[in-house]
Amino acid sequence: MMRKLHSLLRLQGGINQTLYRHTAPTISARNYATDEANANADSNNNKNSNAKRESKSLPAIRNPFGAAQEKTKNTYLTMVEIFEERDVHRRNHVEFIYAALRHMPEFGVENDLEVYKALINVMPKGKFIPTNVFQSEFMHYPKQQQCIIDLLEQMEDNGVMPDYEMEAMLLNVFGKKGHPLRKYWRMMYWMPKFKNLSPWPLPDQLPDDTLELARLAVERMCTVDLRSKVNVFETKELKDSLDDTWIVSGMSVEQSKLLKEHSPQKALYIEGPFHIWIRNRRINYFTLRADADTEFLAQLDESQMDEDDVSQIGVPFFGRAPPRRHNQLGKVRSVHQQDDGTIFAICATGTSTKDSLLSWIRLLELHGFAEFGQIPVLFRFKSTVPAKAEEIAGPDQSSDMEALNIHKEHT
Amino acid sequence: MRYNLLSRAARLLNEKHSSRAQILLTRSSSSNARSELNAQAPGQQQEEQVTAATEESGKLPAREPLVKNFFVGLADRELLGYPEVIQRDEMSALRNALLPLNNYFAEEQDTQPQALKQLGLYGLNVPTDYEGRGYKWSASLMASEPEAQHTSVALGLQTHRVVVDLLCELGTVAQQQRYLPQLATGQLIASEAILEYTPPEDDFFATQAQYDADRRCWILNGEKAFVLTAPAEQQQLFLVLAQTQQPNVTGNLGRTSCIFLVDGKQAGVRLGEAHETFGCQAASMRRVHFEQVQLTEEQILGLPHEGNRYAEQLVRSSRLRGSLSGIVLAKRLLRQLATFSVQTQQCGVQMKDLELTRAQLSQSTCSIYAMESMLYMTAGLMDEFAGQDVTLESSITKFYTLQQLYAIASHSLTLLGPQSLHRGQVWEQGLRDAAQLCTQGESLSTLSLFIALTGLQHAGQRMNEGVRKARNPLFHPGHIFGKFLSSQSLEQPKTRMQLNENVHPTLEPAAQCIEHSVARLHMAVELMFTKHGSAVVERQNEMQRLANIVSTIYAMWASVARASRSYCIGLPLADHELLTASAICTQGRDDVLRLATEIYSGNYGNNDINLMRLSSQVAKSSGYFAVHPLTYNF
Repeated sequence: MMRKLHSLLRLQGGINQTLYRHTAPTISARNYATDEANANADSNNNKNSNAKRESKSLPAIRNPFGAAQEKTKNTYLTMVEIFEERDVHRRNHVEFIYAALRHMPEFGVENDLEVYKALINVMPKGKFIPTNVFQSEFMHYPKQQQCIIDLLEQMEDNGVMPDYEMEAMLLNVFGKKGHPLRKYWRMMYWMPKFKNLSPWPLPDQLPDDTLELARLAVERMCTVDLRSKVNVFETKELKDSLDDTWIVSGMSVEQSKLLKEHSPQKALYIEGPFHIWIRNRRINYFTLRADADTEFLAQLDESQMDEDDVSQIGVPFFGRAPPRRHNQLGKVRSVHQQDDGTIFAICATGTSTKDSLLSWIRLLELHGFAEFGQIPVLFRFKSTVPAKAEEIAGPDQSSDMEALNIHKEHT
Repeated sequence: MRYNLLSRAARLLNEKHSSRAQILLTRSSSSNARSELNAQAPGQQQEEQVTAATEESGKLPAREPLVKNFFVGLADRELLGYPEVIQRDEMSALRNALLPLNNYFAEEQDTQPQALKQLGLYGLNVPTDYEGRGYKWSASLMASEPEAQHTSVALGLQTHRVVVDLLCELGTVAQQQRYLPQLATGQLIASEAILEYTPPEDDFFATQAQYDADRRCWILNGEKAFVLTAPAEQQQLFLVLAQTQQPNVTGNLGRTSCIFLVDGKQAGVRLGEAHETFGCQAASMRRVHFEQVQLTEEQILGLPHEGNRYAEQLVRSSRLRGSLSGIVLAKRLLRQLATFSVQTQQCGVQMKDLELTRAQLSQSTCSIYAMESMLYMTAGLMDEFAGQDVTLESSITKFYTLQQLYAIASHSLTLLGPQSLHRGQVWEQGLRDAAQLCTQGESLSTLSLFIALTGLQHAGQRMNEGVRKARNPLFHPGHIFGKFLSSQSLEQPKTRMQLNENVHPTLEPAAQCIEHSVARLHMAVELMFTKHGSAVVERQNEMQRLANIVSTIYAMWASVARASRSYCIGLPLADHELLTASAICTQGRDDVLRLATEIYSGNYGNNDINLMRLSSQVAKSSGYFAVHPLTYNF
C-alpha cells in the first residue's frame, strides 16, 4: 500500500489524492482500467498521470494476447519478439507492455522473471536517460517510467524478485536517476528480507494434488506441538465407509495421552469446517475436541498460588526432572488444553463429508484408540466462515477453490 | 549451639589421649570467653538429655547443617576443625589391616572374586555383630581406597556396600540377621537396581509393585537396567526401587515408591542382556527383568510406600562411595601425567618446565586436594555427629569430584595428543573410566539442580519473611529503606564470621575468601528469591550457577580446614598443602564472584535470554538451523 502511495504521490504531485486506491491489489482483481467512463472523461493535462487508464481506450491496437490460440510461455515470448521486430520505432510499446502485463496470468507466466525481463527489453535503450537535474527530478518520459514502475509493482505483488541483470537493463533504459531504478533498489532492499520470513516455508511451486496440500496444511497446524505426527489414512481400510477418499490426520503424543485420559462420560465434538490458506489455496479442516477440563485448569490457576512464598520448594527425586511450579504434582498444562476446549486431533478429508469424518473416527479407533467405542462423538458443523471469506476476498477467489471444498451446511 | 561445642570439647578432653582436644578446647574457650569448668552450668538438663541420647551411638549431637547454612549466609566456624574420627589406635589397626589389600591390588592385574571374599572386602562396613569389620564411614572409605585402583572392581563393591549401608540404617533386626552375615562374607552379593533404560514420562519408575491382599504378598513387575551383576554362580541380592500406588488414594497423590530386597534366585527374576559400556568394561552391567515376582512383607526395606523418604539415605551413601572411585582414578591420572611430563622432552625442553603443563598439573592437584578433603570431611561429619544433615555435603562431593575428574582426564588429550586415545593404553582406559563414572547414577546436571534446590529449600524456609517483605515493598517500606541504607555490595561484602580465628594465621587471606564467598552466595540467593519468588525453581540457569558457587565454597572450606590441620600438626609437605589451599581459595573467590555477578546482572545482562531464544528455534528446526554460509538468496 505504501509503495503504491509513494509512486502515485510522486506522480501526481499531491494533487489527485482522491485517486488512491485503498484496496489491496490482488492478481486477478488487478485492473488497469478500472473505470471506463472516468477514463474517457480524463482531459489531456492529466494524461500522464493516468497513462494506464488510457491504455485500454486506445483504438486500433490489436491485442495479440487476447487472440492467442495457445496460451503458453513460448507463445507469449514469441509475441513479445514479434512486437520488437515489427518496426524499428516500436510504436505504442507502453500500451503493449500494459496489455502484456494484464494477460500474464492467462499464460501462467506471472511468476516468471524471464518474461518480465523480456517486457523491459521492449523499451528502447538510452532514449529515456535524463541528461540534467531537472529532467531527472521531474520524471523524464513519465508515461514510460510509470509503465515500468507498474511492471515492477506487479512483480512485487507476485513475489518475483528481480536480479542484477534487470538492474543493468533498467540502467540502460532509464539511467541511474530513473524512477524505475529507485523502485528497483527499494525492492531489492525489502524483498530478500521478506522472502524467507515465513515460519512455514512452502515449496516454490505448490503441488497440484489436494492431498499433498492438505498434508502441508495439517503439518503446518501441527507445528504447535513438535511431537505431532501426521498420518494419511485411506477410507478403503474400512468396510462400511461410503466415500472412497483420503484422510490426513494430525495428532501428537501429548494429544493421544489426553484422549486416553478423557472421561467417557463427556462427549467429543467434531467441529468444522475451518479454513486454512496455503498460499492461494484453501483447505478445510476439522477438529476433534472436548469441552475444557475446567477442574484441571482451575488447579493450574496461577492466581491461587502465592508467588511470594518461598518456604515450600520441592526437591526432585532420583534424578528425575526438577520441579516447575505447576509440576509439583506432575501436572503441566499442554498447549492443546485451551480455555475454550481441549483439542485432541485435527484432520482434513478428501470430501469433507460427515461420512468421511465418521471414517476418521473409526480409523483412529483402529489405530490404537479403542476408547472411542465408549465415548459419544457429536458432529458440530458450522459454515459461517466461507461466506465471510467470500465477502472479504471477492467473488473471483472462488475459482481457486478445489472440488475438495464441498461445503455442506449442517446445523 | 554453644553447648554442642562444649560437649564436643568436653568429650574430647575426657578421652585425654588427643592433643587435638587441647587445641579444640582452648579454641572454644577463647571464642566463648568462658572456662570449661563452669561450662556445664547452663542448660544442664537439656544437655544431659542430649548426651544421653548420643552416648549410645557414641556420637555427638547433630549440628546445624554446614553447607545448607551457607545459603543463608551462616558459617559454622567450629567445623573448620578437620574431623578426626578414627582414634589413634584404631587408625594403626586399620593401617595394618589395609596392608594386604594394598599389596594385593598393587600386584594383581586381574582380580578374582574369590580373592575379594578372602580379603574380606564385602564385609568392610558390616557391623561386627554380623561378622563384618564394622568400619564406620571414614574408615570404610579409607579401606576401599586400595580396591579403587581397579575402577571396575570398585564399582561392584561400591553398590554392594551401598546396600549394606542402607540395610544397617533401615533394616529390621530380622532382616539384618538374615542378610548381613551372608553379605559380610560375600556369599551374597548385593547390588542396586534403580535406574531404568526408558523411564516413563510421568511416573518415577516403570517397575511396578502391587499388593496382593489375598496371598498377602507383593507382586513385582518390570525391568531395571545398568545393574552391576556378580559372576554367574554367585548368589545375588537386588535392591529394587519400584513404583507403588497407595491404597485408598487415587491418582498422582497416591504415587509412591517402595524399596524391596529381591533375591536373585527367586522365581521370576531373570538376568537380561549385558550393556556394552564405554568404560569400566570389566564390570558387568546388565538388565534385570522381574516377572510376577512374589515378595513377602519381610522383603520390604523400611516402610512400604515410603521409598521416596529413604531415597536420601540411599543416594547419600552411593554419592560418597562413588566419589571415592573418582578420587582414586583422578590421582592415578595425575600420577601418569606427571610421570609423562617429567620423562618427555620436546625440542630439548622437558614438558614439566613448560608453563602450560605446570599450570595444568597444579590445577589438577588442587582439584584432587579439594575432592579428597571434601570426601573425608563429609564422612567425618557423619561419623562425628549423630544424624548430621550432610545431604548437600555428599552431593557436592560427588558433583565436584566428577566434574573435576573429567577435566583432569581430558587434560591428557591436550598434553599427549593422539596417543592418549590409543586403544588399550592406560590413558585411554583412564579417560573411558572417567567418562563412565560421570554417567554412573545421577547425571551431573540433575545433581547440580538438586544441590541448588536443596539449598534453596533450606534458605526459603528461613528467609521467607524477609522475601515476602522485599517482594511487597509498598507494604513494608521500613524493610526496603533498611536495604537501601545498608552498604553491602557484591564486590565488597561485609562479614563478621571471623573464620580466620579457627585456622592457621597463614590461611587468613584464604579464610577471608571463604567469608566473602559465603556472603556473596547469600546475596545471590536473596536476590533470586526477591526477583522470582516461588518461580525460582524454574530458573535452572541461575540454579546451576548457585550449585557451582556452593560447590566451590565447600571445596574451599574443606581444603582450608585440612591444610590448617596438616600444618598445625606438621604433616609431610604441609607447607605445600597451605599453598594448595590458598590457590584453591584464590581461584574459588574469583569463580564465585564471577558467578554471583552473573546472577546479579540478570538474564539480559548475562546472555541467558539470547540462549533461551535461540533454543526454541533449535527445537523447531530439530538441530542447527542456519543455512550454508555461501547460500544466495537471489
